[in-house]
Amino acid sequence: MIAAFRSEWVKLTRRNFAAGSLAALIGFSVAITSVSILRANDTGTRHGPMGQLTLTKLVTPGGWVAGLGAASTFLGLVTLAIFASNVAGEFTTGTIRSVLTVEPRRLTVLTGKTVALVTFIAGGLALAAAAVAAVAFPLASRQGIDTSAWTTTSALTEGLSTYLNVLLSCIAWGIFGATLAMLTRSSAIAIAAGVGYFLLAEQLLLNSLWPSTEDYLPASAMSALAEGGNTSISFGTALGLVAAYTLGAYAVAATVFVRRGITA
Amino acid sequence: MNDTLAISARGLTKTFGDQRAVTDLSFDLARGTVTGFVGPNGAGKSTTIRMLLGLIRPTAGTAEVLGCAIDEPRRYLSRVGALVEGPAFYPHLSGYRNLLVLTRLAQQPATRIDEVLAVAGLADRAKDSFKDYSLGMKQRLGIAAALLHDPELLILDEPTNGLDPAGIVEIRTLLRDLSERGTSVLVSSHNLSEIQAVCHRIVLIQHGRLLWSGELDELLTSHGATLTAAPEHTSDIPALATLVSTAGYRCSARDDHLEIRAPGSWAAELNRQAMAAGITLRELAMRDANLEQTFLDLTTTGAPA
Repeated sequence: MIAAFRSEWVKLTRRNFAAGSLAALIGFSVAITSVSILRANDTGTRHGPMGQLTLTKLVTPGGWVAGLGAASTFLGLVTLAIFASNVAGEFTTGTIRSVLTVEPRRLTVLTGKTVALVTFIAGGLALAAAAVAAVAFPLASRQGIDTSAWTTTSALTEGLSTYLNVLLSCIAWGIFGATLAMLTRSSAIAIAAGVGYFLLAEQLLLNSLWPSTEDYLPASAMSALAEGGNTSISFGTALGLVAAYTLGAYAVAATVFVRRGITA
Repeated sequence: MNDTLAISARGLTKTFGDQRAVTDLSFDLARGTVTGFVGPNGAGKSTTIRMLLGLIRPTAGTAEVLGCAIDEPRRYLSRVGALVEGPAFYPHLSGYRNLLVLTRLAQQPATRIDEVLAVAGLADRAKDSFKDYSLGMKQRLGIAAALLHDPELLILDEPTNGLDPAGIVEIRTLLRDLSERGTSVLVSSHNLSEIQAVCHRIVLIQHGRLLWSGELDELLTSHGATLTAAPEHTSDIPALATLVSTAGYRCSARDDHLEIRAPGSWAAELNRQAMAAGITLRELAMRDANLEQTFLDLTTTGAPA
């Protein structure tokens, strides 16, 4: 597995890929943090897939990195796209047959690849968190938001907690992307299917057809996890749901990968 | 398990839905030999190679590669180098980094990369992106990748595709060198003159079925060699043709001579019989056996012409 992990990192450190991916993660985080702080109010409003930030939340010790949580859906979509294009790309370029003639243990290859992608996203989110902090302080000062709690010792703990919650949520998005890619063997179709479901289909279910499912569906659970729990789903429930969905998706991806012939 | 065989396939069959790609295919590849794997497009060559490499599972039948069953590819693939259906690499990575992906995966030392790049003639283009390589260079990188772990068995699917004449000669030399060092090679190619130049043995398939398998010389002698016999008087052609038919060989009359499907060793006997029958031959020659013609004969009729 370590060999597959190290091998995958050769691809992840390609300059253009790394720069593009990090730019997307950092760009979305900074942009949404900026909008969230500038538009924060006492009640909090949800702007489409963006999380809600209230002034009450912003003045807490974790307020400095709250923008990362607000951006979690977009960060999840970026992660989904990175995982999906990485996995599907192996089939569209045919490189999967080179890989599997060197390391035929397919689960080892898949696990090594997944862990490498997770560490890449973890690094990217850490940079995004740093960027969010860098813009949050001046913007909050400009808006007259009290930032005294952001420099306390608990601010670091809260920041770390937010980072881990967003990371777990992104890993789930990524695993869904990898699974869709494994099923479709096409980056474009996998990304379209992922975005279509998480941004459109699930929203349609929640808002029109089946509102009671807000407590159970994947995108809702992942958002709640990234926010550290919300009014609909507690943190513990969100963690359990996301873990179940992620393990289920990974099991599907692994089964398909192991059982299907490589005809690419 | 037979230690003298690099590959032993028995009744390999693969179906995709209703379509049979390979049917009851059996053949052997002796260690240390270069074997040509030939057949028309869609004959099932790549499907067979994929089964041997564990990329797809056979619907029926078995095979052993380097003494290990193909349902356990991890037991033998570390000793096999392969180029399957053309070179497949990450387009935005350099040639060097593409090979680094594979050496890390195989847990090989990175120093091996420079060695195989030099063998493939790509040392000075190692830092260029794969997408900027010419077709020939891509092919060379594929061969370099197949050589990365100094394999006991090399399976190459169309290795000379896109190579210029000099490159083809280099690959031919490389395959001969590898064979002399004891490496077994299975090479699939449409370039039959190349196959004839480097291979000891041939496995010929069509419509997923084995058509012929054995020594190349045997194939050419039994199916391909042609004698040309020209009598002094063209009026003797029918009598000469009768002599040939009586001996069990086929022939066809041309303007002033007969073309006879017979081994060169029969030429002296033909000359004796012609003289005994009062026919004087003004020309008796053996045309070199031609794999291309033999291939066409076998694949269009299923039997020698």
